[in-house]
Amino acid sequence: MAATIESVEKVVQENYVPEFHYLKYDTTPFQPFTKDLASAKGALITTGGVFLKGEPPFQDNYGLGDPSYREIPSDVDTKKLMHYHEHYDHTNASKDINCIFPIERMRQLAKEGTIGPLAETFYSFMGFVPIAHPLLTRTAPQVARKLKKELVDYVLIAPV
Amino acid sequence: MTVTMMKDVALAVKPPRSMYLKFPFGSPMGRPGDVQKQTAVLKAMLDGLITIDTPGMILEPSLSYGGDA
Repeated sequence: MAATIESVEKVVQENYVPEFHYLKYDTTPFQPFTKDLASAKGALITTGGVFLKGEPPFQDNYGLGDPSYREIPSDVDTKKLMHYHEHYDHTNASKDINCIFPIERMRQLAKEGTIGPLAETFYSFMGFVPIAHPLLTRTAPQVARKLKKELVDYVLIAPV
Repeated sequence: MTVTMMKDVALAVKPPRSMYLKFPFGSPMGRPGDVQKQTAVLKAMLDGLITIDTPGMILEPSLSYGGDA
């Protein structure tokens, strides 16, 4: 049976955070994209819990989640990429990191000129964040500020 | 521009631009080693980046995961 908002909320409420509900919005911010893709600077964000070998992994905190993020150099050797996230099947990601973080596909598109330059830094979250407040008020705004500082024109997000 | 594997979540959370794929959790870009599909997903996202002109619009491109999910 396909997962629904109600089914996921029930699992999270019963097992981890009784107060959990998905955030719901009536409106959304929107900025028309007017640049030429061949010259625009792009970045990638995954919620697959990707981190660099040797750096601190994400933590599940007994089901309370982890609102932190990791910076991933866009030219990183993919052999250095690890992933930790208690709440999805890692079988495919363990075989090919591009299933959750298509970094090599982005590099290929940039190399062939389909897209412009890549940001120096890509970002990774661990997408199980049932207590959203620190994500909304601290870590997501931090990442947004860093993307703006690097003059990134667009972001592609791969949720797991 | 984001992929979503749960359309009702995208309808509730309303990302500015999203693309609904009936792909399994843990594989939003396709199967391991399927360079062609992974690239096609990225290209569909890039197309959406340019063509979506309505805030919160959810694209549903004809991209299948293929085989048994």
